[in-house]
Amino acid sequence: MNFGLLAPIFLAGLALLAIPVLVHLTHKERKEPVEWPSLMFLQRIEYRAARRQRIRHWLLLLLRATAMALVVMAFARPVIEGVAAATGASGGPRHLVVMLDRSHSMQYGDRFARAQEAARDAVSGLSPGDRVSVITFDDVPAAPVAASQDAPAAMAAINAATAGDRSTRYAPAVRLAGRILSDAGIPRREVVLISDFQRRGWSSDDDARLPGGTALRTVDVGAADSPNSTVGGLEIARDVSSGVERARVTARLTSTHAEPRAVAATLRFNGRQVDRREVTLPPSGATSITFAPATLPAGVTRGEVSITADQLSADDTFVFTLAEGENISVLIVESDGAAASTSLYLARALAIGDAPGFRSRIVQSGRLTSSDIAGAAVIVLNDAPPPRAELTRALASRIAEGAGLLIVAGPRADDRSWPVDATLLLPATTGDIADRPAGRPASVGFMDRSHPALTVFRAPRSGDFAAARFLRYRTLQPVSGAEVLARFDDGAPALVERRVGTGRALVLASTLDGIWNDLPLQPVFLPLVHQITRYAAGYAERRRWYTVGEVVDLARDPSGIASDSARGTLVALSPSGERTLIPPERRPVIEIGERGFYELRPESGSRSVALAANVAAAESDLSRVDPEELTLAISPAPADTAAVSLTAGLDGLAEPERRHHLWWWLLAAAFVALAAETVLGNRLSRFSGIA
Amino acid sequence: MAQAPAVPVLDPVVLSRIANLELIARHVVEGFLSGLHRAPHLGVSLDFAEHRAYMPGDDTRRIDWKLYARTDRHYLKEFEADTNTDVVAFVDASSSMGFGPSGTSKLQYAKMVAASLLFFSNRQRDRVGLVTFDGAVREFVPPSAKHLYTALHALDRLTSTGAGGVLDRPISTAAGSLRRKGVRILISDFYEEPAGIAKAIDTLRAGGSDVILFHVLDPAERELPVDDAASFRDVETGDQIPVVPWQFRERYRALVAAHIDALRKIARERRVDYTLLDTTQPLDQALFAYLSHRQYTLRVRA
Repeated sequence: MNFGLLAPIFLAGLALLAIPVLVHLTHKERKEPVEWPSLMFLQRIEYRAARRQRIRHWLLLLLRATAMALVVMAFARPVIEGVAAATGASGGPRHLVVMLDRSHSMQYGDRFARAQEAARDAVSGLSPGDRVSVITFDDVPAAPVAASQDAPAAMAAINAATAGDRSTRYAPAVRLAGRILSDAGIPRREVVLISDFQRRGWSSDDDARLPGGTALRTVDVGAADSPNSTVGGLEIARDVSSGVERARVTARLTSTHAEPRAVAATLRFNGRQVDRREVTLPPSGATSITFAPATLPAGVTRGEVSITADQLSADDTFVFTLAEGENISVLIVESDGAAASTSLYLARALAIGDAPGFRSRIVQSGRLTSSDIAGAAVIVLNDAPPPRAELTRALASRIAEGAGLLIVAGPRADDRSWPVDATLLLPATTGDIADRPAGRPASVGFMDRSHPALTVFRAPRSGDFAAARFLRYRTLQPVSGAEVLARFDDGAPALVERRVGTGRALVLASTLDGIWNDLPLQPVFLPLVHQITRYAAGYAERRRWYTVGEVVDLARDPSGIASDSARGTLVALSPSGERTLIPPERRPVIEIGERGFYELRPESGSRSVALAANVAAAESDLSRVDPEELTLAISPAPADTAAVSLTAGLDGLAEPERRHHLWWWLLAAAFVALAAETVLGNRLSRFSGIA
Repeated sequence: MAQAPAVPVLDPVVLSRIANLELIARHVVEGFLSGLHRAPHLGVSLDFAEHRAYMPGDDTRRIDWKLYARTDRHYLKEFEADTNTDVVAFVDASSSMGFGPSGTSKLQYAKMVAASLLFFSNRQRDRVGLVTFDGAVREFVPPSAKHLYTALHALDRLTSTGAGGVLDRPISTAAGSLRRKGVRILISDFYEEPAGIAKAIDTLRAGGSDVILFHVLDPAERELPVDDAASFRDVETGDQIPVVPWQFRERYRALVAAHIDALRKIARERRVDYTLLDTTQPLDQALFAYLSHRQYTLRVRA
């Protein structure tokens, strides 16, 4: 039978036992005189001073010391039964938490199968009364079984787990384990962490520790050497030639094999092989391969680049989507008889770029038709007079539907000739031409770089507009509701915007031909034209692929599949075939949890949108963290263990201590000893005087 | 110190034991003797007891003519027929008698002894009297057949607050007021040199009275059970001396024992009865032992 103490610190009180001993030894003389009937006989006795004190009343001393010792022991809360060790010692039920890594890297070879086997072994070792929790984790932990005594359910959860495509993160899983352990309140705690211990799963900044008193055991299913080849990423260039849009795909391939590895790289569009190349991957290196330009099919293309599979095949394929016609059509309207250079710089600028590309077309104002307007995403009135009345109405209607209008206010731009009803389209009224002497040209004094039309210049040193010199500009009077995006140094508006319906109308106070100013000659000209054009068109870049773990807000998807407030229920189909309904009252977001193609479509409708998802590139990095290092990082802090060893010991002892109540008996015995001490003390000290 | 429980002055338990004995005076006492005592004079007691109606044949010299003048009837004076002895209890009420750590103080014990003996004596138709003293006489109740309750009241209110002194002085003062010889019961703790005690005894014995000594002590006075070194203060004189009990104890006990032996010797030499009373002993035990001894010695002497 073992003996333990819940609060051993109180044993320090045993030092107080020295007090009665000292009292007995040092008590030299009574302070009060003893009342005696007659000193007749005492006076006849020769007095000698006492040379040495000694303990005379041993029984009294023993009673006092015993009482004190009993009180101290009572406070120390003794327990008869064995002390429960802080880490998984015998005695009392234990709570086993099995943490099973199900991240993408666990698909390597037979890791996950071995991990499941280890998890089953851990669960099979449970004793009656033990609790078990199963946590499967990647970057998001889940606990299908929590603090349960149902071992079969734990087994079923382990068997049902599969390795997914998500990344590894240990910290959230450790925190969940800690929370489950703390909530269960069982003092004997054990965690079995089964993983391949991927280094990228733990960062030194991660602050997650298991609660004090938890025994941590690791099962390493990884391997020191895990060579892997991946398709790390793509670059896609698009061009339009003879009205045919083609895409040139370049894939970046990496390898951690120790030897060169020859692989076959294949490009597919909509499942059909487009190109195949043989490439040798360098040892522990990377290379890129460019496939031959391929014509994009109509509509949205589901593309795929794959290499010869290895032990981890999930990252040997990279998927993407491409939509035909991801260019912005720009209609440049010049005045009749405009010089050739009027739109030279503008057209040249729009001819550059492919993300998105711009398809610009120049039309004389006299030949402008409503179909021209209807086919353009952005209409630029480049120092051109207002269109005819019916065209103005078509223009206004097009803008209101979401197209963009850019009015370049040059010498010919005069809003007084606009039809009255079209003035609702204009962001500002144009006034007189302002001349600035050559010696003191105007420059851009203010720019709202937070505006979407100018965000490309938000970063420091992203564009020096101060270098552009403006010798002439139109004075603009912004209308009510318009927003001034830029001003000249004298405060005059330089760029004004007005929202018209779902479209945007902007007016620039100076020309783009290099005559009134030298803006086209400045480095900022190209990005300015591109950004304003993209903004005017309402362009939102469409992601060609997403990464597993991302959350996609479909309301912002350029396809507009979920942007309509009157949309119905959306159906999201995962690569594995899992169907998710998104009702209209719910925000249309989906979490990318699998690699492959997601399909989105209205529940009632045929239009569909595809989203490509790939495994995070970092997850393909199979470099390891030493399990011991991770164990040290997530194990309870020594102070917590020491303190909660006491607590765990206390918890382990608390149950038997509550049953026995030894402290009560000790206090009762102390009371009896004190009572006896009182009686004996009174009897011995009775001769202190006459009553 | 805890107060001794109030013990009735007349303890029925004590009386029931003493009632089987007769207090026999060792000497013939002055007065009228009938029954067990030998009186020195035959005759009528001078102590008037009561009136009774005249009946033919009574001694006409005993007619109370004054009462006849008042009532026009003839009444005879009755006098104490059996004149036993004067039993006078001398009770020491000095401060030292208040000592009583064992529960009953010596004074309380002495009061019980005195009351018991006086009561018993009164039943034997002795005249009882009481003298209480410390350094001087505190209260004097002349011996009389009618003074039992006066004596008992005096005993009852007796306290040990007075300073002590030599025994002989108050005894001599009181003895001078006692004209007849009788039984003198001296109850004290006898904290005086044996010579002084002897002198007091002689004073009491003067005129042929029978002296009985009761030496009352608390067990603590004989054992010195104090453990801690302390100053001991004389309750009568106020003097203090340092005492180391574990060093003094054996010598002290020997001195006390020697004193007791000396008193016994003095008593034996003067043919007085000496009894050492322990305040922890039951009263009836102590008096029974004395009266048994007394009865024996009277037979021997007679």
